[in-house]
Amino acid sequence: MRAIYFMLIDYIKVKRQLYLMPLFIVIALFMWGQGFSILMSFSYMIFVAIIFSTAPFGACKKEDAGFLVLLPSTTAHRVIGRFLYGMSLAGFAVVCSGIFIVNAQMMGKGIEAWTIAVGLVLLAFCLLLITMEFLILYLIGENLAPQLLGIVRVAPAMTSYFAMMYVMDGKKGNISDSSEGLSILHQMGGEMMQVGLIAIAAALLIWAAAIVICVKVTAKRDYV
Amino acid sequence: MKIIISNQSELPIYAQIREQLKEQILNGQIPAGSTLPSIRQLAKEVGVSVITTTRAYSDLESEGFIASMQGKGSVVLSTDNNLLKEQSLMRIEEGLTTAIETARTMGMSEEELLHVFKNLLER
Amino acid sequence: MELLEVKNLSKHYKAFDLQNISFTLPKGYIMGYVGPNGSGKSTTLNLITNICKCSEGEIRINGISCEEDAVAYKEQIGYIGDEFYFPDNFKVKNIRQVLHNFYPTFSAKKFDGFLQRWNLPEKKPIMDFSRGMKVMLMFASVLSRDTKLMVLDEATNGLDPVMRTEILGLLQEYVMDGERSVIFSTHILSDLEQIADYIYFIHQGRTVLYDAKDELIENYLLVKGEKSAVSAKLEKALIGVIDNAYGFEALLPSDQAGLLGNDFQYEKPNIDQIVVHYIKDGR
Repeated sequence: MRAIYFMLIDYIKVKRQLYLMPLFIVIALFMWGQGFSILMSFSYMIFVAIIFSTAPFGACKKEDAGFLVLLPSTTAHRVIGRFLYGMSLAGFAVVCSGIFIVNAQMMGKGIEAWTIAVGLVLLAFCLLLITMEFLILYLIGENLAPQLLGIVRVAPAMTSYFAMMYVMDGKKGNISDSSEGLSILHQMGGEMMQVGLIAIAAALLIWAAAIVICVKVTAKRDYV
Repeated sequence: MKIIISNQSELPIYAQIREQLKEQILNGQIPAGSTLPSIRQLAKEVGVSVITTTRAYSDLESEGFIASMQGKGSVVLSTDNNLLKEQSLMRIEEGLTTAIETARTMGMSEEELLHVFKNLLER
Repeated sequence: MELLEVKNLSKHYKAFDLQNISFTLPKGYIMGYVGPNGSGKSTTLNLITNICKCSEGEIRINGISCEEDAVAYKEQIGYIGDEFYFPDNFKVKNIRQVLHNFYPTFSAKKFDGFLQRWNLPEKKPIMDFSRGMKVMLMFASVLSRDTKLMVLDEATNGLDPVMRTEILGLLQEYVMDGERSVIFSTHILSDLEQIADYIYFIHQGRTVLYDAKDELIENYLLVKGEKSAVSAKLEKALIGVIDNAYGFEALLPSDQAGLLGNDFQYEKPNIDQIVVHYIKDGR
């Protein structure tokens, strides 16, 4: 429960940046409306999630320790809270895309199963990236120089986005059988779903392992 | 009851509290049988440390001015009780002894000393 | 009964070592933690609040160490720092919410009472609070729940005398029931002069003096006079001699008062003077 409260604190801390969220959702909707694949919108949402995931790190000042670290809690509560925050952002992307999909189906646009499978892989990838970022930030210490923090924050998100663009053959991001990257995935058909689920499971496992590592590392750390 | 602390005073703060309470007990401003504020309350009111007021109270207690009673706090004792008389007597003896010793070192005779004593009494 | 026990506490930094700090603070008393800037005051307090982890030693509050039970340990502490510690973009209502989430003894009613008493506006961004308002907001957050140990790190810095006096009153009220204690670091020693029961004095990370304040003041005399009148024996006994054009000033342990003839003036020192002369002495 305390971990969840710490997640809420993270949300309060980055509230001002989260105000931009609706804007991103509108952009994602717009892309989709323009005939881009739902995967395009989804990867865009994930891109946003990855960027926002590191926001509380930047908003953590040394002086805050007197309040936040002193809240009755263990290191584990604080670290898990932060990781929950990261995961909840990815969850947000899923929920948004989920709503899009339901909408699409109601409008009669079918969504193929393999699209969802690819989405799962993407989600796993997103979780993994967030986990890695958190791992880096916790290992080097939360109080990075702002420039360095900027790089750590934006680089993975950019990478993921451009990777996505590449896979989708650029242009309109429309997925067709001719699309090189995805044709392989398409051929895998039903097995794709299994791949997606395994990827998610692996990502969650790594996520949990990262928490353990970060708790170990920060338990002995001074905050001031 | 009133207590005024002076930082300029030569007396330490606990002694200032003790002396002022003693004076008010002796002249009846704080009547026998009344209860003094608790050590902590007094410390807060006067703005001094708890150890300081504790010391003032324990001095007063050992000199027989107050008694601390479980659950009732510190109660002012009647000033004509024996302990107090004894103590006053001791103090008188002490003072006179010093006077006699000084007189002797000066080589003052007994008559001369008695004369001084009588003169002082009549003043 | 001891409320705070600090045993053989050490903390090693690259350029600074805090060495072997040990003391106990009984229930219901106030301890002043003094020393010059950079002497290790904040470090010690940060170790007590567990913001920093000690290299060696042990700290217990009411017998509980932070390693054993971090939640119970931290619940007992009310910390007020020299810097404002609420995150910048927090609003008063966020603080209230977080306190409510984390502290079972937190009373929103009490909290609001303090806000009113000190005229702290609910709507104004806390970043725009004055230094005085910020300190009072920290006090409101601490006093609106049940704590056992108040830890103040230079909390009265930058406050006017009226507010300092109010805070000293608050601290005395806090220890009134004899169950709660305060440890209080400051270099405005007049704050401590009256209300502190114990003084712990450190310099360059080491203990210089640790005693009940009244004892400390009575154990020393502040001696002033002409340098030429100082005998060799007296010279040895004097602590931290400060010369000026017309004479000297130094501390002397009271039990050495016999060494003073009629050539010197002496008086009770205050804590400030004890600190200054000890630091001058470099012992």
